[in-house]
Amino acid sequence: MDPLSWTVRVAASGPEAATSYVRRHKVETGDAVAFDVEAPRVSALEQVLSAIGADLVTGLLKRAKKRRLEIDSVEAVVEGTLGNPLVTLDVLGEEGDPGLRSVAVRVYVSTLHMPADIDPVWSETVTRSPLVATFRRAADLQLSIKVTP
Amino acid sequence: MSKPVVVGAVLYDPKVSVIWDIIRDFFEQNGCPMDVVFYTNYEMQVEALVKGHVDIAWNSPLAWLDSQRLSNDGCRAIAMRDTDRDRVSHLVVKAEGPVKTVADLKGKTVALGAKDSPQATLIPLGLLKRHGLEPGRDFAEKRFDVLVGKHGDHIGGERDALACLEKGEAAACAMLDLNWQAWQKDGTADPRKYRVLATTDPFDHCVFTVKKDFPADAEKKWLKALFSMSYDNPKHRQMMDMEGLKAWKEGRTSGFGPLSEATKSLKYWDGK
Repeated sequence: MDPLSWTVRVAASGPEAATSYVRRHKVETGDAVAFDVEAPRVSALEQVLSAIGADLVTGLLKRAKKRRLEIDSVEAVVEGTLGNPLVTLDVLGEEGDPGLRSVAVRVYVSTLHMPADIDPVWSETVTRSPLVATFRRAADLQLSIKVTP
Repeated sequence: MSKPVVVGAVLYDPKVSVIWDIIRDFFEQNGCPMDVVFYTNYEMQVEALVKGHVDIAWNSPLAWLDSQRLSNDGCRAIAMRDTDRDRVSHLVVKAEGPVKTVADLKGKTVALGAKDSPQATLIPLGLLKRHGLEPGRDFAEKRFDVLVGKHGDHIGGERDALACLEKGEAAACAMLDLNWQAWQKDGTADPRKYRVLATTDPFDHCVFTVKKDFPADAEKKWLKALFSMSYDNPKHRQMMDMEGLKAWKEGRTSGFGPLSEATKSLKYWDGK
């Protein structure tokens, strides 16, 4: 089988803005990293964190559905820390890795099923997630799940 | 477009870059293009100023003294915040503790900020020396060297010194008056538990520094833009609040005496 690939087209629309054209969708992104809580756009880093969260919550919901497990809601809180953010700001004299050092994902599942029913679904979701597999190689990735009625 | 004025600044927190982005945009909009270069510490920034790599350096008070030292008094202070003028530092003790006078600190431990912090280490040590208390001989220093090289810009060292006092591991700690005020308000330092034992002479803090040969026309234009910021203008207020001032003032050098005296008496520059 030829390897499948996915293509997005990204055009800069200013020093702090980019537009991604993805199939029939358009996504706006801001700077690489936002240090201002009032920054007008979602940063590239935040998009990456969103992506891993989306991968896990949709993956878990899809696999739960296959097993006919009813899930009321599933939500992830994803927190990433950079090695040295000052490097990306061109601070002279700063050294180190500007990349993601750690990513912590906490998934909250609301369901009447017992945690023991959800655990195998979660385990399968994590094992088969393309982004989890990728991030495990790139950063200190910590995953946890909390199941509540 | 005229040649941008290059301003150096030390960045202790990535969030500070946001303020500089706003300031740079403000200067651009006011017809005075400006480039900002960030440095990891004041030593690098002072060297860049003296070598002419930057036109203007946003200097800590210690960096001002260092600029003068390395340029043979070849620098000028051109502007500062209103809040940079006439600051003081306090030695704070437990309100009900045994230390009633500065002399009572003999044989005790004093918690200080980073070794290069004018407000939390050098000037308070100068005050203690004036009271005849020699560090290492008459009292022990417990220093909190948070982000050395950034001259105490980061409040972490002062906060750690306060925590040290709270835990009973020091008899006094040093802090800038602005932190003492803020921490009493937000509960970090319960005013019923702590009191000011002694206060330093007033001193000045940060200052925009240029070399004496910085072209007068460029300086005039840059200062005109800077001084056009008005706290009454809502568009400027956010920027000024972020930078912690209500008005820009002309630079002055009369407020660096306590730090200059402290660095001399502590032999701070020896071997540097």
